[in-house]
Amino acid sequence: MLTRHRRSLSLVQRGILAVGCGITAVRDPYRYDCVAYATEATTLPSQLEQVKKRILSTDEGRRLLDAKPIINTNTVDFEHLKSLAPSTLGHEYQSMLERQNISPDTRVPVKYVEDEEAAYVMLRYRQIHDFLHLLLDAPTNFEGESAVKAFEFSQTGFAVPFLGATAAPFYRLNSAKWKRHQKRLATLMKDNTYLHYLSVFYEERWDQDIDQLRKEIGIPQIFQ
Amino acid sequence: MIRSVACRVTRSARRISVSPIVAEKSTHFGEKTVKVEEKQGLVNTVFNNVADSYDVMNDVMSFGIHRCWKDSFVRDLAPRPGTKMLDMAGGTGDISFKALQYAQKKYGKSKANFNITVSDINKEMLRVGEKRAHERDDVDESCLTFQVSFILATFMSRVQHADAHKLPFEDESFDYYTIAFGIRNCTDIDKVLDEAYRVLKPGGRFMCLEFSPNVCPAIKPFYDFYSYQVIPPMGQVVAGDWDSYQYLVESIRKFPDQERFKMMIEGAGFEAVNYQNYTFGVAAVHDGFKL
Repeated sequence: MLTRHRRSLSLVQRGILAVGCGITAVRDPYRYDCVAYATEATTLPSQLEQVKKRILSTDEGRRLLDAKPIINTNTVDFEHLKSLAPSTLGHEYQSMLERQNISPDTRVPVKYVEDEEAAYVMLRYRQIHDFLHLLLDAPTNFEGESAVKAFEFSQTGFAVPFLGATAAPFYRLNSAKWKRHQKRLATLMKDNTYLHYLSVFYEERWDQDIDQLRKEIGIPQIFQ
Repeated sequence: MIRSVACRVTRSARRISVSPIVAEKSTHFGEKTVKVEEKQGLVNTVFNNVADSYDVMNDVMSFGIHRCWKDSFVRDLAPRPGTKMLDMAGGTGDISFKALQYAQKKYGKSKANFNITVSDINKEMLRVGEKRAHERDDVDESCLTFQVSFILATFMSRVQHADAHKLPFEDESFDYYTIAFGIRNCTDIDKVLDEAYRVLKPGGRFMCLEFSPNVCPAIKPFYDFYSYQVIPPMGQVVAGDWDSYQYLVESIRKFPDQERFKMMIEGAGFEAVNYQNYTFGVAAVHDGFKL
């Protein structure tokens, strides 16, 4: 998932990737690769460095960056997750994947972030997107996705989730829904001094009560 | 018989001085050095990946100019009625479609009697070619409905999966051998030229359209910038594949220049070999005759 050969981009290449992938992603939201690579092209190394620092500020985060775990059908024991008590992280995660018929294997590899640790941070960001759907209880429709993007932006500062949370709904939603979304944005984008969602070693917390985890991270309750 | 032996001897004599690639065990794959046995597989992977977006990317990369090159190429080829053509590395069928249109327009659908075999080592490219031919089936169907007894312009009578280094065709079975934007991907160019010579009839014509590494110095900086800064990211955007287009761009620079390629063609036994540059040397057409 972290390809061994990653390229660093020149300014021109970055621009073309950002604009080209950006336009393609808007016209065809099923081009997940374009969403991913537009993010890689528009994210500055300093932003990834900042997220990395937040992760390294806790013991758990340091363990996470040491281990660099990857979530896919080979690394996660879904049978074990099924056996856990309901309302645990593991059980809820597994049933969400089943309910929505999605797989953790569909994320594209990181190709355009050269530094290995920064590339891992980008990969982790991509992989934890599904967890956010679970923690926020956000549906996979347009409004749910925008809400997840808003939270991601508040925690990372990346440009693509910002656009996904603001510009996309502005153009797509009717005025009533847009007003409701704006209220959500105000909550989601507030500065968060709780545990950073990317510094959480989710794989160590499968049996944790999910509401307790939500409190630790400071997840706003907007869809419940 | 004596003539063909003499030809082969002269060819090998000429060969030694012009192509050191045959002697090496490793070869180039874009900027990388790989074992000879590996190159074909790697090239295959590239074209498997790009097959579906190939035509779109060609338009994007060349701003549609590749169509002009191919039109010019076919006009130069000027296929005559009653002939057989082998379109090698013909993949998605561009040259074949244009050659057929040329023959039909010039000689009329009923009299063209022009037979084309489209051949490629890559099944994915051929699949796309077959699909396009099917979509353009109206051309053939109207031919076919005319009369069976007339001589028809048959097309795609055989879509053959073939390796240019070792063709499954008999000696002296074609009047024309064309290869457009394919030869630079071949591992052993001399072998490909030899095979081309073998399958052509006496009087037959070899024509090759290819990017050349020798671009006019005035535009080279812009050309290089465009090749490395624009094409690979566009490959990611359009075809979801940066690496394959990086390879394509690098492989152009590894190809022999116009003069050297001309000598290689002569080394295979072709005569009256000429070349012509297109678009400031970005591409070139080489042609020769088997006399």
